Amino acid sequence: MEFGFTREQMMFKKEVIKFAKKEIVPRVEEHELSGTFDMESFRKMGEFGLLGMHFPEEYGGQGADVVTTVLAGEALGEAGVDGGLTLSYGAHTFLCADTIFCHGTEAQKKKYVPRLARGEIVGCMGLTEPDAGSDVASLKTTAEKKGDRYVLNGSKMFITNGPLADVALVYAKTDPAKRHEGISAFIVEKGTRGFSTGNPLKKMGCRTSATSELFFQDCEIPAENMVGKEGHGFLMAMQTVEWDRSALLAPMVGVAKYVLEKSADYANKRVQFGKTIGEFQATRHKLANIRIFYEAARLLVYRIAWFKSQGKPLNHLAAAVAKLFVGDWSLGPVNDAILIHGGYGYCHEYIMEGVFRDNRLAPLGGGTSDIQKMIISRMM
Amino acid sequence: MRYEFLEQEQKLIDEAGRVVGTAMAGAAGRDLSDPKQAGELIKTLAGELAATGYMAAGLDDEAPLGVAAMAAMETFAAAAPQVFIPFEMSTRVFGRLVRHHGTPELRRTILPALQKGALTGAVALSEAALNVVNDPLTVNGVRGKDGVVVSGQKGFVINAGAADMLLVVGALDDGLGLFLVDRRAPGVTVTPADVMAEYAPLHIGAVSLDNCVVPADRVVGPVDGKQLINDIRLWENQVLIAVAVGQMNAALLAATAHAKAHRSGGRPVIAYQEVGFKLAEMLTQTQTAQLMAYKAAWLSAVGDREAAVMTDCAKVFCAEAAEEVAGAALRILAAGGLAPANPAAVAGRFAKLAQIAGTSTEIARMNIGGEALK
Repeated sequence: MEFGFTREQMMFKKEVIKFAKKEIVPRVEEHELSGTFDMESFRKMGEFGLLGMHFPEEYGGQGADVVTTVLAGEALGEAGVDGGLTLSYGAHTFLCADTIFCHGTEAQKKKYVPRLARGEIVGCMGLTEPDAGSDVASLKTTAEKKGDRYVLNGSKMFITNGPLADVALVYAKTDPAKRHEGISAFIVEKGTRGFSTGNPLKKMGCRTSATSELFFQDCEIPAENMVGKEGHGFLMAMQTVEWDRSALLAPMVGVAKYVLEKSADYANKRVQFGKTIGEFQATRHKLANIRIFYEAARLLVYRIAWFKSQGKPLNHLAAAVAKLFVGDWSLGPVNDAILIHGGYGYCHEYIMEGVFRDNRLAPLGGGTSDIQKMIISRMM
Repeated sequence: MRYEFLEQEQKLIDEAGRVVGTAMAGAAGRDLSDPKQAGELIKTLAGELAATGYMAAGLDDEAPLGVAAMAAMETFAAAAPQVFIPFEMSTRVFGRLVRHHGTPELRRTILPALQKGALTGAVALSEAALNVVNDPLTVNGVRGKDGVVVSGQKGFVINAGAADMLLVVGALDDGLGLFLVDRRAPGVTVTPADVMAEYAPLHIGAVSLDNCVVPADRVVGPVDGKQLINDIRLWENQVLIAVAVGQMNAALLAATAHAKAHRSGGRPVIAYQEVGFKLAEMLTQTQTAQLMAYKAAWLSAVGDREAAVMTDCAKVFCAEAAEEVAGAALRILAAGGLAPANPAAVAGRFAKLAQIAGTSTEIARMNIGGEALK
């Protein structure tokens, strides 16, 4: 067992941090305060090659390996990119584009993946419904075959990038009598008759990612928009779990490093009782807590990345452990960072409160902590 | 990057586990609170483990203490922490002190004997203030015509009561020296420490040195004191990390088995979310601790400059998580977990020891926080 990164991987990570600090971070506060998606940064991420770097060059990517791809996500967090933009990046790249790349026809891949990878269009993935969250098999959106078309009816909830997406990868029941085996996936383009989105939801955190409902009312799409085989939708959705537990968690790992550096910087400057607060033991202990979380979370996330890079089947236990740990343990260190900053930590100026709100999503999104505990305990 | 063991690495882990399991089964009925019996068991184990490659880790030039060795240590610690701790304080701390700071002659005579189980050792560092970070050591060596005359008191020395040799750290000239003394030498008195009965097999003791004459060829130094202390702490912490992770595994295993076997309300208690979720959290903490332990061992083995701080991170996380896992295991095992030999009770005791011994979690946090402020 060994834990090193290659020199190239580390150099690339540095480049991403440099890029993000220069091109994205200066606009984070403005968009965080206004609760708006930063399309300019998103496009720049596409130009830099971050929105599909693991795809082959012919599909607009760079052919990057899994670990390097995950490092890019960590680098974004470490640079100070907010959780909203990294969430949008994750949903677009891994939940939408990657599913089309892995399961789509050659025509679908050629049509959508390069444009998604370059950031020319925005993608989203619609799985969750108002009454089907963790219990995916009970989703109610239907796709009825009528000749050479499918007709979609139903709605989706909490869809990241929903209000902006040019392309939605939507899961619907093609056989409502079945549970998991009755689910199939479809590409629905913006502007398709019968497809609409709700207003952006006002969220506690990740405010720069646009989240909304998706509505399908007699929404007709060509039959060739089905992605993968009929009835294979659930399996396809589950295959995104590896990315979900590595690349989508990676920014939260990176942001722990960001929070640590900012807190240490503040502790070195803030003087109370004639000495910097970094000289107080309680402050050092809080810094230690942040560092320990960073190191621990990093190991769990890269374990999933390594499994995937080796082409091994998904280790469900390891995936659930990574999600549970990052989800449930990430708030403590950020809380410590807020305490180090004192009153400033409660104000937006020092960003810590924003990170706290963003991280609050971790135990909820992509499978709640309770679901992870169910998975783990059933496998024991 | 490689998150799995190679065949050779797995073989070391499995073989070490097998040898320890057999030896401990054979040792059933031994009174390990008796120094003689405890010392004999350590020597027997060393001899048998030598064939697996376990003894070489950290002591041979070609075998740094890497991830596989840490995993093997974890297996040993899970099975018998009361034997593992004095064994490793002898092998991995005393032995590595000799290897890294000893003279060629000491290395030639001590290390082979240690590895084949002909000798056991202990390291005497802590003193009354238990704060070698800030306070100078009071044990002092003065050069004389027959060697160095050493006087002073050491406290809470693990394996002091059972070891053949003691490596005493003390002031020498303008720095620190290492004094290798026979536990039974004139001027050396070992008094058992007043600790819980369950810690008796660790043979923790106070060492008193009263004008103890140490021959010149058994004196090392003066050496770089800071490096010496850092080395000892790092090696001690590696041992204690293995204890914490091993005990987490043992407690988790016992709690899981009980939760599957014990039925309440017509179904096994693991089927209740309150129990199943607790086990899930315990497993998450255990796997995370394991990876922290492995990463720290790997960094140390490859000589990375982050090894010390990562070892401190692993020490804090593993020791504290071990206490939480032991506590949760006790809740699941209910009254049965209160028996002194129950894995949950054992894990609770040794988790606490892991927090206190070596670099305490408080000091470790200070070190980690200090690194962040640089």
